[in-house]
Amino acid sequence: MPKRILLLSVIGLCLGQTLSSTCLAEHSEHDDSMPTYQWGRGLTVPQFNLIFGGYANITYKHLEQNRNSLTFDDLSLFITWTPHDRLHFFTEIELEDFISTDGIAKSNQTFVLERLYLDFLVNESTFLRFGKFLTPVGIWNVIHASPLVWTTTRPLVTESSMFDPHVTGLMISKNYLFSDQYLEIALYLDDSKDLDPLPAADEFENAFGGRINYQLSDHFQVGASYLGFKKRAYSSDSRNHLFGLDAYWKRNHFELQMEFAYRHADDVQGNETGLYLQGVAPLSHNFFAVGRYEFLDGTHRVDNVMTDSTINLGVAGFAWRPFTPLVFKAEYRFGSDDNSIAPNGFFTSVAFFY
Amino acid sequence: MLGKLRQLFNALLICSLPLASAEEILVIVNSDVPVKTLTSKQLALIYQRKIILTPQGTRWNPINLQADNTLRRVFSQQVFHQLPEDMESYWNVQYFNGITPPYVVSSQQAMLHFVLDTPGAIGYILPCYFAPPAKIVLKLSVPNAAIADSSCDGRNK
Repeated sequence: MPKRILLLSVIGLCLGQTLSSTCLAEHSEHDDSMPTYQWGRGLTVPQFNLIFGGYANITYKHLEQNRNSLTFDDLSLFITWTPHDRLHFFTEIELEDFISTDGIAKSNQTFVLERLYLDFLVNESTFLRFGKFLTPVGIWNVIHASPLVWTTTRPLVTESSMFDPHVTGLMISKNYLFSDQYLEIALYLDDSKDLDPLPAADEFENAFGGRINYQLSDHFQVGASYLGFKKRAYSSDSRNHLFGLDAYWKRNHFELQMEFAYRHADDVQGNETGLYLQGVAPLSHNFFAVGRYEFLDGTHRVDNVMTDSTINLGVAGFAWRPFTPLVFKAEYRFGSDDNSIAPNGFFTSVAFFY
Repeated sequence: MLGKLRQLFNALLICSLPLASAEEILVIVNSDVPVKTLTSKQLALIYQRKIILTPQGTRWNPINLQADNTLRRVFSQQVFHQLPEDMESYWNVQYFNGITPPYVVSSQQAMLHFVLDTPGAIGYILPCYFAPPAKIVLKLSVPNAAIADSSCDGRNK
């Protein structure tokens, strides 16, 4: 397995060097007639106001108690269309876990409509969004694409067992500018049961929520989220209520990121508390050290069964970004006593925008 | 390391020279844009594609010079407090949402022509390149030495 990863890495580097010398320059000399491609920024077709892009991710896992696996686990296509100054259409279609050392998955198990929405720009500070979009809770969920995040593993507090990563419904977002500070407020309603064209079994039946994101400076932002929801998988009338806080600081390539969430329900779904604190430090040009502490306590849904546990774990690793759209990651997750929720082991991946 | 040294050098240039030897970068817009002035923060948000519409409801069309252009680098330091390459991670996030960076032109003359010809356009040039009917909405003061190699090459100032 390591030889395959090394071969893929070498191929990726050679391809990257070729593409960077020919295509990494920004779009030059605005020309309405010619389509242009830039690695990591997609294919732009100005004549039709279209942009095609996407990303891919390959992961290798060497777990302490599970079988090793190599998986082509994300192949994503973005389509952006701007037919009018006030309209912005976006969709993301994804193939998930479709090729692995366990075989080739069936198409009906792997094809996912990640996002499909239309933005209407009401004015310079307000827009309406209708469709299927990422749930605006915290930081990680709205930027979870593999080329954007520093680790192969995802913090437990941001996973779908805590809240469905997608909303299908309507959102209004407004921003305010105070001197050098920037405030964004979003409110949304979900009706996945009636609106989602390709519903998943564990998603919302309905939900409503809000998020405040406050950028205090160029380097620091804080956020707060609320989400009230009923899951499709549970027939009881009990609702979940989730409260979240998050913060992000970045300066001179150093980063600190934190998210906290508390979920409460009155029935068998119980209560759940989780947080993570992640730090990134540059070691040299384009090479970074990454460390993360995670805590999860309460009632968790694992394979549609509710279990109670407390998890403390750490993640330590490295990330190498030789080119803007490309990242190689390697990390070790340790300290977890719950193999079903967070198995310990070595994770490595390569992810790139195209 | 080289990027950090370059960033430190530019910051020292901007901060250390006396105002008496300051040059200006003019932020200009197309004549149809109903805006008289912009703050530096508004300018940053327009270039970051966070403010998309003008007050009249047309789309802002921000234009950049190439990333290695000295004027671009000084503009980026002044407005975003970062060099162009330091903003690539930001544009990666925007790409994930179907948003691309501003278009790029190769010269200040091309910048002016684009602003004059394109509704909603906004760009930046040295004063010697300015020509009406483009409108000036912001003036950024920078030390002369910071943009020495973006000079007007004999143009009348």
